[in-house]
Amino acid sequence: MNMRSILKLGVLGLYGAAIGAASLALTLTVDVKTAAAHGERSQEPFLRMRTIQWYDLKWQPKVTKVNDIATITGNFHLAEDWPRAVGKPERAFFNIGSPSPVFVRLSTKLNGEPTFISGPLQIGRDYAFEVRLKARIPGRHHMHAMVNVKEAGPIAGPASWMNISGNWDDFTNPVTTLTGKTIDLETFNFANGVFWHLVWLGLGCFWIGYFVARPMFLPRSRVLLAYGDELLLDPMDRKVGWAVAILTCALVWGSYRYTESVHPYTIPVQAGESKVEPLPIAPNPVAIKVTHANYDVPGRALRVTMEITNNGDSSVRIGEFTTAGVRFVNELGRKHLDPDYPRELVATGLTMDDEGGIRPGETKEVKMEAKDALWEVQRLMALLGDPESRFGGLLMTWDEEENRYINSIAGAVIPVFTKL
Amino acid sequence: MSLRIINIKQAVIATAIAASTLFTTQIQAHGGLALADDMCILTIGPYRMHFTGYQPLTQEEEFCEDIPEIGKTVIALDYIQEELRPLTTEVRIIRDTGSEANLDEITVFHLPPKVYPSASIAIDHTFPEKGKFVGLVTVTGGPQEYVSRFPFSVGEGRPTPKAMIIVPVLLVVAGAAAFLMTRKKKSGGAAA
Repeated sequence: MNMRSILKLGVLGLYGAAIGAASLALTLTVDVKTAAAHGERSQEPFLRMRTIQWYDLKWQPKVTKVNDIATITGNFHLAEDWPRAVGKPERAFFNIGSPSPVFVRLSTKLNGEPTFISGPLQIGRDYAFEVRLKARIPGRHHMHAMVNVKEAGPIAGPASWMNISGNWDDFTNPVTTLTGKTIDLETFNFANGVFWHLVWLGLGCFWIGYFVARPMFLPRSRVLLAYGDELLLDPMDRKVGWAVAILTCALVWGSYRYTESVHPYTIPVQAGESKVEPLPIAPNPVAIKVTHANYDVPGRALRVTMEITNNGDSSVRIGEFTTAGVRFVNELGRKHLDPDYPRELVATGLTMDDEGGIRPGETKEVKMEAKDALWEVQRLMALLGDPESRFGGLLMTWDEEENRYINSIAGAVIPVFTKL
Repeated sequence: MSLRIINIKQAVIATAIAASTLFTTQIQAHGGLALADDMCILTIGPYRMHFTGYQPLTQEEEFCEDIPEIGKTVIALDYIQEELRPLTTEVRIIRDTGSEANLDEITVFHLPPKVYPSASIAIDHTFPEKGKFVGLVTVTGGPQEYVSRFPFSVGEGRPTPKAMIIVPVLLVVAGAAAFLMTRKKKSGGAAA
């Protein structure tokens, strides 16, 4: 390589560096926007309406200081109408969706059992969850309950805004290990982590750099294709290869032995399977069959015709239809509505053609209308473009003793342009 | 060498210009109505509504701003902010005559002030002929009254005809084909 070539490569390199720096500067100055939420509205409606159906969610308290404890509790039902296109929840992990680790998750319980690894969930059954969180980063954060399902991805539930005040520097996360030693997980072995990142980064850069500094990938490939590998075999390459292989094995083995000696008790986190039984099936005298459903496109109203049978000994009335975290309520539902539930997810436009209720032993055809701009604002009616075009949700009824019954309903939806 | 550097300079400038298109946000203003971030937004003072236009008898696609055809038109205005729910909204469509001195005389559609608890307003109107119109959306009941005014035309077709999409695609394909053919000729000549 002569001086002329080196100069040319240098100029090229400078231009490359200039483009990189300019792109980075443009990205940082022009295109940086505050991410207020997580794009949950871009999730397919069938994923939000017909998989995990959430209810009774509470975020408490919604205002905390750094190091304070908050909880997210609630229940979810796995819809019987689980879409064919979505992986079944044979391996699922209960999670929290937040913009970076603004809270530290201290514990997760499903049906009262500690659940920190993945496991199967049963379609058609219900689970109660409780997550304890410790406030870490000050700010106003959109916090979702979420279930990660293998082959389906994260399925986000409804979210509420939670505020953290104070100073991040004050955050501590002390835990006592099995040997009685107290460590702060926020800072524990930070330098060690940085060191090992640098070691592997350095080794990787050396390995790539070594071969890049010799003839580049494309010339090597062309030589290989044209003349075979004889010309490319260099005794030095072989020596360097052996040296890096031995060094890598030695580093892995040595660091493993060292860790074993310093921390004799370690637990592999994702090596097992949680086995949580679903909640017992609650007695439900209400049986519902959806016979017809349409969506009034300009009116923003889902209209469902159902045959409801009341097998109980007390009249029941519909009070709430909840889907994708959006709660459509009428007067009865409003009476039972948690006032702390995010206001932006509550719609009061739930009506029935006959509000009289269903008497004991009666089978009645009920026409329900759930009307609100939230169908569009939450982008739920994008389901009309799905091959199945089916809706799903939980219908809540109350009897005269104020016992609540929950039925998961689903059906095909036809778009219409007519008024009721 | 200098020729190579000039080529590199041109490549850098072209790359920078091409990269800059990534950072643009398409905004087409029509008074209070604008297409921003792929959503048709009507701005009324501090409030925003989602505007969706339909012509179910003649158009499959939704529209924003101008109404492509005459005939039955349905427009839905969805409140984006919760604060709008308890407020009163009035909708009026008037002919664009240049003067709004006598509103009632030039009004072709009117929804009187009303609270919409479902946060959605459906406007159903049939435009019998082409023309220029102005939409007026007034929000009252809050700290002050806000009016959004957006002019629009009816019956002048879609703002982007299909030819505007097809022609550039054909040009790119033709350009690529010409480039490949030139290269083939060159390599054939060199081999000869």
